[in-house]
Amino acid sequence: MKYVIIGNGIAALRAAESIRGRDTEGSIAIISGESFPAYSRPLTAYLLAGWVTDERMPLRDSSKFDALNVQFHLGRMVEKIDRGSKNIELEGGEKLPYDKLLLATGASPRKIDIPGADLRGVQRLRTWNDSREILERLQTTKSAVVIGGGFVGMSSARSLASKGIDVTVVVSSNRILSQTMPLEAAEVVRSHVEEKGIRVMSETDVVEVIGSQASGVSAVKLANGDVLACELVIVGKGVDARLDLAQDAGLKCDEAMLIDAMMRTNDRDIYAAGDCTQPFDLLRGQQRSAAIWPNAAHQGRIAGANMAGAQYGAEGFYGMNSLDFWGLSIIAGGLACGGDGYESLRASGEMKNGMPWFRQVVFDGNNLVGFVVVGDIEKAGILNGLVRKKVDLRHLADEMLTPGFDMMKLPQELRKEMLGTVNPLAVHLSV
Amino acid sequence: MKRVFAREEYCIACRLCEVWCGIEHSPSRKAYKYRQENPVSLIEVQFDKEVGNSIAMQCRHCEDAPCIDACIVGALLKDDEGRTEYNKDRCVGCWMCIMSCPYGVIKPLKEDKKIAKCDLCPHLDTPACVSHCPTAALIHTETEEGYLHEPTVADHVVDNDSLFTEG
Repeated sequence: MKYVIIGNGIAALRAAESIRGRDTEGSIAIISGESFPAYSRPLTAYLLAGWVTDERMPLRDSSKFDALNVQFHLGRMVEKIDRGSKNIELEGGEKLPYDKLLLATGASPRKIDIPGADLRGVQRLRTWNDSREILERLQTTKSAVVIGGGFVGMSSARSLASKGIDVTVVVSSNRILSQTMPLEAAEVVRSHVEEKGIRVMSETDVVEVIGSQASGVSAVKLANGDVLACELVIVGKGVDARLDLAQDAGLKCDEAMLIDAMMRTNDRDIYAAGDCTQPFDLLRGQQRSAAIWPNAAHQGRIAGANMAGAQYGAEGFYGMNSLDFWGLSIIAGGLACGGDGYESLRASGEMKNGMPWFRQVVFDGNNLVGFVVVGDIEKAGILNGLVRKKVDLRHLADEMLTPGFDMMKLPQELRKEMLGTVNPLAVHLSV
Repeated sequence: MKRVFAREEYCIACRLCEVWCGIEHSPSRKAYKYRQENPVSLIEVQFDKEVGNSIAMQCRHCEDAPCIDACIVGALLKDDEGRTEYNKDRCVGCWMCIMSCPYGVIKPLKEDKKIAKCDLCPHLDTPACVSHCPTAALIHTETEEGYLHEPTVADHVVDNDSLFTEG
């Protein structure tokens, strides 16, 4: 069996591991435009801050990569996929035949279309190279502007501020993390990060980047005419799936590649996983991309297993995220912002250490469909697990809104379903 | 693989499992001085004060472990026997595993930017919490319950060709 994987992110790595776990004979080829071993994209922000070093970027120790017995074609682009003869063609004309192909081509950061956007010092943060370029630029940076207050924007801002750089985050929305949490929670986070030196300017846009060819960016201009001096701009306005290969090969795409629960595309020998796909959204009941790490990893694992002959399916996916700003931790998942047609309940207060806490739970009828936990995150995962359950939990809302919500607050029946019951005979044998 | 299985009917909330877990994972592994060594217990007794029930919760070592999918640094991986193994050196304290664990059994160590979770005492035949449970509320067994299994395909999920039909 010949397996070919295009891409070398977490979806690709998990797929390769999944294939190798089931098929020790087949050949696996991984093709990537980048020259690095599979590494952690979220760590690029940690690299900026100096919290990790280059050696920590690869996702596995080299012995684990070796054990996978994969042929890596790194630093090479794929020209096209020929579905008829089941080949992929690399740049330069080399052809690789496949029996099963995985597209894990990921996504690229959205560009901003404003004057000056191509000046030196206007950066995005997605790749290891991006973080290296930013680190280089930081040597002459005193102030930075981050465009966009999402996961990438806020992670970048956090890294820069911890290095003592004067950071302003500019968001078009009325709040930071607008896709992740409601205004009330975002305000808690905002006042905390402002104390730590990140300035947030909401409901405005950067309309122009000012600078010169010689020295790059020197300022940005906002919609209201204000000019902010800065030597570095990081653009974090979301990502777009990389679809060129898929579209050219006639694979069905919407905003991203359409796949079924087994991660198959409309070609039964071609699978897709990760940020380039639009899998079934469990909470919205339609195909929708969340483009987050855990989903990519899970999809990759399922795709790999199925390529090697398994029959795994995923019930569905949804968005979730975890962030930590100098000890103020945030975990949110599902339809965390609530909105029309949903019931949103919230509570807030102050923890013993003086840090704020905030909780929101969102119900669709009696089903929990979203949650935000700021502060006391220790058992927030339970709420995430309950979102998947799709059972009547409305009567537990008050408990869920209280820090310390744990397994013993669940109805006994549900808890037993989750933790299982065991044959007394097995007990006898084990003691 | 043997896992630790908890039975709330037999738990008397004595919290000896927490004590022995702390001892077993302390540098000295000595009951008389482990407390000075700032131990972290990897098991936690939770209570329902109204009913009077309690249960000891710890990592289930799921086959289909969401924490492994969520880990952005490769610090959580399966070992050869199926345990979910934690590599502290790789961990950066992003809390993605905490977000994804449906049992809420991974502890964030906020000061250290690390986590703590049950390792099933790999150096012992029987984990310390189990061998010291006075009521056999914790048992070490080849159970098929109480953790997330590998995903399977339900019929309705496989048959979704409609996604790709024209028009």
